[in-house]
Amino acid sequence: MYQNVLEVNSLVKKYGEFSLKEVSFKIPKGYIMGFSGQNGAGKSTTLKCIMNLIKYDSGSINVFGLDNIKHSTDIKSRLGYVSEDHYFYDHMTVEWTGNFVGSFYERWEKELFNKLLNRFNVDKTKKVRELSKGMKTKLSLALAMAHMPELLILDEPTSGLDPVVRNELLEIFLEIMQSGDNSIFFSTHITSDIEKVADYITIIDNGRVVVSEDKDSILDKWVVVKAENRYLNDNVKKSLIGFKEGDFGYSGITNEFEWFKDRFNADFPEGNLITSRISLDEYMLRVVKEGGICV
Amino acid sequence: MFKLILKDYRTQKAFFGIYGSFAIALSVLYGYPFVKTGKLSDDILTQNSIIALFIYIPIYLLINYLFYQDYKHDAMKLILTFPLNKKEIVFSKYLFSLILLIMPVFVFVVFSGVYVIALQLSGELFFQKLITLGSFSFAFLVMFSINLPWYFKYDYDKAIYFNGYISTIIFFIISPVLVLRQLDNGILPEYLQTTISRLPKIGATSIVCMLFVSMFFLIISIRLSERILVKKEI
Repeated sequence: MYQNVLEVNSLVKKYGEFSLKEVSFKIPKGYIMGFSGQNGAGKSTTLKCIMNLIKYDSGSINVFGLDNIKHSTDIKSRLGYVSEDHYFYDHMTVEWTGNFVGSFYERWEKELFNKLLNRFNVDKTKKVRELSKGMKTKLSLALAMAHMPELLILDEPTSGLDPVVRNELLEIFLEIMQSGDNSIFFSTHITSDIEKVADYITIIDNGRVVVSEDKDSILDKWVVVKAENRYLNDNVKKSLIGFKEGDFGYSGITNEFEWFKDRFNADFPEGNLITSRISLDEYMLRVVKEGGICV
Repeated sequence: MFKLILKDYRTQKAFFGIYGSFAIALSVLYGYPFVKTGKLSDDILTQNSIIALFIYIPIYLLINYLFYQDYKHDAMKLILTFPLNKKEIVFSKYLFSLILLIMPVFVFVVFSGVYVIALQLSGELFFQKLITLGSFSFAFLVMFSINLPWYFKYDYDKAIYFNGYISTIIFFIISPVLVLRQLDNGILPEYLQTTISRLPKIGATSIVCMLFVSMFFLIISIRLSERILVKKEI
């Protein structure tokens, strides 16, 4: 029995000028992992490698404890995949699409598919081309879920959707997880989506994994500090990551707050330090991009 | 694999009605004069041209349309996420294309057979007609054996240009030569007649040889397409 539903080890893939550099992460069974990074960071390439849609140069990928190339067919029958762009025979109806996709899965539950369509308000008599982007995403999700996959892999599922539909989809993710045995791996560049539903976060930047940890560890580790400009010297400035100075005050981030506080108090005994919990957005912006941190 | 064939059928279903009716109508209309002709002469050339135009060209267009549909809907990107192995995907395409080829030929043969029996025509005429159909079919097989790997290698919009040229050369030059070999009526220029007459006479042995050659092309083509799809990055 496998413990990690997905394990990516030292994945290398050269793709023209871009390359994935020793990408490694794992998702424990029964959890949601958000996979984030800027556009072009390597999210989709990693997902395609996992799905065996493209070949990788070195490294290994295990899904359900099985090699993703040797056991590709078995693995694909046990996972659901939603790509960023939706590929359908759009002149066919939703019902036809369900029957067509379902015919390839042994565990396909037609009733569950119909139930999901009702839940998502997708009219099964409509032709796929008549559906909006949000509806197509919901259809893709229903298709991916109707064979009761153990792992859902979703490539930018919320991209291009309005906030209401996005929120609805995220709630559906949480519903899926209620059964306890399912896992979700979804890529997105919308950090608030990850913050809302993910248990684990992997951040990729320029083809390299910057961090892959459980969400709370990341967000608890880093603290945003703010103070007035008169309480600033070179020591303080050098101790902060993602330092920003304004007209009245400055801000920065540290993962060694106690050490920083002692240093600040030593230099400015009368200084007033304001702290707050870091958001994933700030983490991405200040720590990953500006700080250039590789954890 | 059967499900993929069924999918191809379903996505093209609208065309099948038209195409099927067309093939049957042609068989009924042209089968009769084709077998009634008493001697093997110019009429055969005319009738074979009709077969080529009205039977093989629609088959060719249907096979192209099959790949066009997949290209238009990016179907390969969807299908490759299914629990299918790539060999099945390739083989199903070939099988469906073969069905498209065999079905109308079968209809033609059946109708011609019915006419031969009903009108008590000579078996030689029927055999001659089979040879003609066989020659065209084998040429067609070779053509699509060369065509199909390109569709797996490149997108439809690129492959169609190459396949257009190849098809024209193979099908519309080689297959008439095969058929013309059966004629001895002096309608061709002398130098061409001499060249053609040097070719082995098409008979049962030649048909078997053509069958082996076209099967060889087909097997190589399937293996090549499999390798292309395995290596292809979507």
